[in-house]
Amino acid sequence: MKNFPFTATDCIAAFTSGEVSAHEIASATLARITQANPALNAFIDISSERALAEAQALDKARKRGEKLAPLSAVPYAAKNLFDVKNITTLAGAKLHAKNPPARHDAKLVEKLHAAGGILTGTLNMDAYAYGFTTENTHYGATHNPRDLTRSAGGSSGGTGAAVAAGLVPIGLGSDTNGSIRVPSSLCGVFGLKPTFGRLSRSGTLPFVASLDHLGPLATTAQDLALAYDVMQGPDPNDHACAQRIFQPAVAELPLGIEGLRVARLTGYFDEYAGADARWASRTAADALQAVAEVELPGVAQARAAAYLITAAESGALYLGDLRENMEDFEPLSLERLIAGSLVPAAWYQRALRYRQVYLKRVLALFEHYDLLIAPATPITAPLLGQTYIKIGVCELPTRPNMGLLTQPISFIGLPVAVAPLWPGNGLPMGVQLIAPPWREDICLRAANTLEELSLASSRIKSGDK
Amino acid sequence: MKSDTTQYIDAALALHQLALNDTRRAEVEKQFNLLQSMFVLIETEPLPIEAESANTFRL
Repeated sequence: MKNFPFTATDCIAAFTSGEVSAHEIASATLARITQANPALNAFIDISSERALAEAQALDKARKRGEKLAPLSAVPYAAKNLFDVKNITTLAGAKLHAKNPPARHDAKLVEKLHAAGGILTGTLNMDAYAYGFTTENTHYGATHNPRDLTRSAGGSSGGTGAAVAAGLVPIGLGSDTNGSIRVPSSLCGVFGLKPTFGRLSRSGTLPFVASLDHLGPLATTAQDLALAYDVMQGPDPNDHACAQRIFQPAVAELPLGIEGLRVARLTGYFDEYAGADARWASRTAADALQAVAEVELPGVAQARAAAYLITAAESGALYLGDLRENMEDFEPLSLERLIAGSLVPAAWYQRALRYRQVYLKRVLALFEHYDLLIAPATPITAPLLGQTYIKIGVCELPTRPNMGLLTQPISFIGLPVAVAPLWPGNGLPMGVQLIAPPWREDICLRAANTLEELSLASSRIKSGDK
Repeated sequence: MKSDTTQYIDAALALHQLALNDTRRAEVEKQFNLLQSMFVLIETEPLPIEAESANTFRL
């Protein structure tokens, strides 16, 4: 069987050189998805017709000698809270199944399309994006390609699994409290949660508007940077999207960690980390030449405030539906949503206020350091159906607590890349590479450095697909 | 005698017009208590008026 390139970078090179056609790449990708998806349940919709049409258009453009776009012939897929024209946007929820198909693509899908990407389908997730395990009562659990008995993480679990299984080199996810970073860690792929307000959220179903971020997951740090670069840019249709100039990250990758002052986060981030997580954090810190170990002040409170804001906003968002269609709700989230709808305004406001206080404290830390390192998840992938996780002497419910280490970071919108390390038990463990606001380039440089040092890898087999 | 929290939850559910069976009602109370425990954890620190979230609205 003919070998096909797999990373986005390789796809672009092979297509632009004429080695393979976009049609060949799209066909091979769709065949892989069709073969692997029944065991994984990563894809909810496979958009074969669209993928082949996009590939055909790319082949024609190349034939005409047109200038090729930066992501030409790169297959990708999107979490199913992104609008995709002619597909109903589910956000993993039966509640939305009767909605009409989307009339337009989400802004980021538009951008990937314009950049030459080939959309292959939409991906499974925790209902409403409320959960960290992609165990979905109505659409089934997504299985982790590293061990099918285990969770792919969530809520962008379909995206993590699709990339980790080698089905697509790039996938889109969302991250409110860790939903890009947790699946990146548990599936062993690279992920980027950009600064809050960096990427447009237009055309996606919200979960917690004041905390929702979108971003890519990918096979390599380079692919991650490629996807991120083409998605940058302001959008007047997303009120939260900042008016930032384009700050390319790909060109910065060769800088490595030169000149960066790196520190490893301890305290809370060690306390809620199992042995594999602590190993990953220390290994990354050593490799990135960390000069200090520091504690963030008030992290537990930050996590509490993020938890409270999430409950209050999501409860308010779904209150009308809870009243009208309670039986259509995901049973795994129903009571949490109802409880959130009862949160008094004073509690919510205290949580919002604390965000300002905590941000100020953390920004002060960035006067001394450029990059902070922490584990992405407390443990490696738990078993599907595992209701509790054990961290040291602490036993905690799985679904809300896999984000213990990610929530305090996204709470204040900092950019974070996840790089997958391999502790030795066959399951990956991601590290968070955290930078000051608007410095995604630093996160990506660090992730790329770990990859160049052969410490971080998505361990995806290329070849006969 | 019902606790203050129980009374609050009953009243808020009624205001929201959410009717729950006993099992679901008990789980909601459990989740609400967890949220309350999160709330008491968050320290209060006076903010300058310009940092109040309500002041971020702009036209």
